[in-house]
Amino acid sequence: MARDGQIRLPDGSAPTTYTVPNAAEIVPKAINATFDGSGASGSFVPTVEYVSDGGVVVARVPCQTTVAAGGSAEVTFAPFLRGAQTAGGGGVVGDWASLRVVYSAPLPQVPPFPNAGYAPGSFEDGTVYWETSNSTLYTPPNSSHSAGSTGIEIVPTVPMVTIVDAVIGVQLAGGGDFSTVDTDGLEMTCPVIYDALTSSADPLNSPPVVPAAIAAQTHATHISWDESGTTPNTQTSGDLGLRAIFGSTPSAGLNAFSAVVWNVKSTNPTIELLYAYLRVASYEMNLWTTEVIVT
Amino acid sequence: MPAEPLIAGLPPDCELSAGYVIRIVALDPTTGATVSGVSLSDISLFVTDMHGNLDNLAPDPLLVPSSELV
Repeated sequence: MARDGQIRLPDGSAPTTYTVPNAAEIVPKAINATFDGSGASGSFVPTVEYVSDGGVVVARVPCQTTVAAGGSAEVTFAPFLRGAQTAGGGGVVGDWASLRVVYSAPLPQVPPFPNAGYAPGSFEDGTVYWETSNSTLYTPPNSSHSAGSTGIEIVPTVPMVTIVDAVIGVQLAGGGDFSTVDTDGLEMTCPVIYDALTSSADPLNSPPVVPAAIAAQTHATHISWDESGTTPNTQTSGDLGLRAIFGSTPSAGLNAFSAVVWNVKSTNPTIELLYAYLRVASYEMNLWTTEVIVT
Repeated sequence: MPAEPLIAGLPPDCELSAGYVIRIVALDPTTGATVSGVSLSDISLFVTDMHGNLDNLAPDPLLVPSSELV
């Protein structure tokens, strides 16, 4: 008599395997795992393989989305699930782009002054990596996508929902995670969608936009902002960041643009900037609301 | 940073007998080679045991039986 059951495997490095034991015969119905690529040697595709007892791969099931190096994904594999698909008119569902900046020694440091101003770390000071799943939909704002690249240009052809994550990684000067650090004053210009890149409010050429102003920007429907204000707050993680979700999307022919810079002020102690990460993911709106599992 | 939620298809009704291996791997999108440095956690396999002997399946004590099929 057939029965359903859940098998949990221990955490570990990919690849990991499960061997069907003697006198058993199973039908996988759902496989779920979190892929942490923070130490990955490159971008990767989460994949499940079935391998025969003779060592021959009988099925290889890749996820249709590539995870950028440094990124993470929780992936569910199940029959009849379908990942990101190209939609009509050149629109996409679930495509993404990222700018990743990695610093090298000596790491930019933020001195322990409450009004230190801009931290010496910026996109110009590190090595910039540009990655995307769709180079037609996303382009870096300058062709060299190295020094000076501070954003991602989106050229939508269909209505989309866009999610932007901006993260910086910090550590105590000299290394090590901080247990608590005063991040009061961390400022990041939030991603903003403009009707045209030629707007006078182009964030590349403007001072950092304060959150209140961002909330009032056209098309910006939601924003979260954790590190600001005059009351000291503390972080217990090495990642500081924000997420913006744009539910109202520019129509075809309009440009969406996002940019991020940061201004870290530290009262105590000195902190170092390790990396910065800006990621944009877009979902076609009609499929966003009707993303279903067909069984 | 939070893990991005993704979904992918899986062959339906694929019966795997003793000795078959389910391998969860990170592959290079260009070459298909295994990408190093990727960690896996919260790994869960939800399966139907055609013989109904769930106790034989678990690699550890975390097996959680659920519904019984007629």
